[in-house]
Amino acid sequence: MFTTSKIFSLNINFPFKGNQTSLFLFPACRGQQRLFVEDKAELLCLPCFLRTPAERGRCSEEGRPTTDQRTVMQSGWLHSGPQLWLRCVHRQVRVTAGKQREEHRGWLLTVDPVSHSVALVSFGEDGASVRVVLGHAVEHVEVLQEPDPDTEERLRSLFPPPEPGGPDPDERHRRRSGVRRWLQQNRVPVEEDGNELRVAHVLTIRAPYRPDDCSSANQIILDRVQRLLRVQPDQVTDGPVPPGTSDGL
Amino acid sequence: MATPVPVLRLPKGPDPNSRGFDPNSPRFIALCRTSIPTSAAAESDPQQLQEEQHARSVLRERFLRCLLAMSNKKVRFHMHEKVNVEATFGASDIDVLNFQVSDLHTPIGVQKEALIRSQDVISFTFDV
Repeated sequence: MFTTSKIFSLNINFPFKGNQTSLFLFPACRGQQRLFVEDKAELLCLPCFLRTPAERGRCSEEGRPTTDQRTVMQSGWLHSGPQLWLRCVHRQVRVTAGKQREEHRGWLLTVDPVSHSVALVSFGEDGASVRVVLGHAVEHVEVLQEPDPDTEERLRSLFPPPEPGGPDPDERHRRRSGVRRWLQQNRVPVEEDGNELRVAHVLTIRAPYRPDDCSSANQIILDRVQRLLRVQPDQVTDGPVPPGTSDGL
Repeated sequence: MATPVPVLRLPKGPDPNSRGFDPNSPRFIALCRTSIPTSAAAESDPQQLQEEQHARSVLRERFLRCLLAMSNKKVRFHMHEKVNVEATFGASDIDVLNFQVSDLHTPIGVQKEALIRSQDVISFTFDV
């Protein structure tokens, strides 16, 4: 252990968690905060402490080699920024949650910056299951290992981002005209604007022109157009657009 | 235990304008902070601020996609005192303070629609 004469120990109450955390301040390190690594009881400066074992090298702060044991991120996890969380995504972590200190292990999907909730994935025989631990209940987070390429691939394909523009120009043009004709047959004023459709100057439909691709500030028009798109038949007949006479629609 | 029960009318909470539920009261701000602010280091350096903002938006987008994938699926909520309930997930609010669920299976019956506070929940799971 350390000579206690050189260590100041503060017990701080963090108001939003009601927990007590001990921070050890060492005057020798020019006021930098240090946190224990329990396995080797070696002191680390904060930047080195927050790195995972694979990333650590020589600590530039004071020229000492850093430990290569696993780290225990205590309340430091919550106070470290989103950049650290982003670096830990896709790694296997162990989260201790709740007063009963239940442990959950899984591959880190994401950490919500708003609520500090941690989303973990675990793969079973029949598919994947996701566990989200709410931020207020997270006690400890420990990074265990990096993912192997197979797991990384599975993680990436779990919640894929939507395709950006999707289909080739001809297909897109065909779909766009189909949607435009359908809307015009339903007496909705629509005009083409490049790759998008503009409805009554207030609603925009991007490729690939599905109900979810509509965006507008006007809730009522959005709702009406989305409903129309949902009931659009697959083959929009090329019938005449009603000029102004009502035909029962 | 599949008989639907009528909606229970619980007693009204504290007056929203008095202490406790007042959004400007120190207690509310302390307990229900809506979002973590930018770190002190990033505030001074615009480059780092940009990186931090990018990280925040990527993480938040992944979380929102996770929530989207969860809608209309059966989720199991693990709450305090080892209470586990199953429900069909509806939506969450922007600060992840409340969850709207349908068909909540409770020991006294099935609640057709319910609002669960996030402070009561420790974790929840669902199958993709």
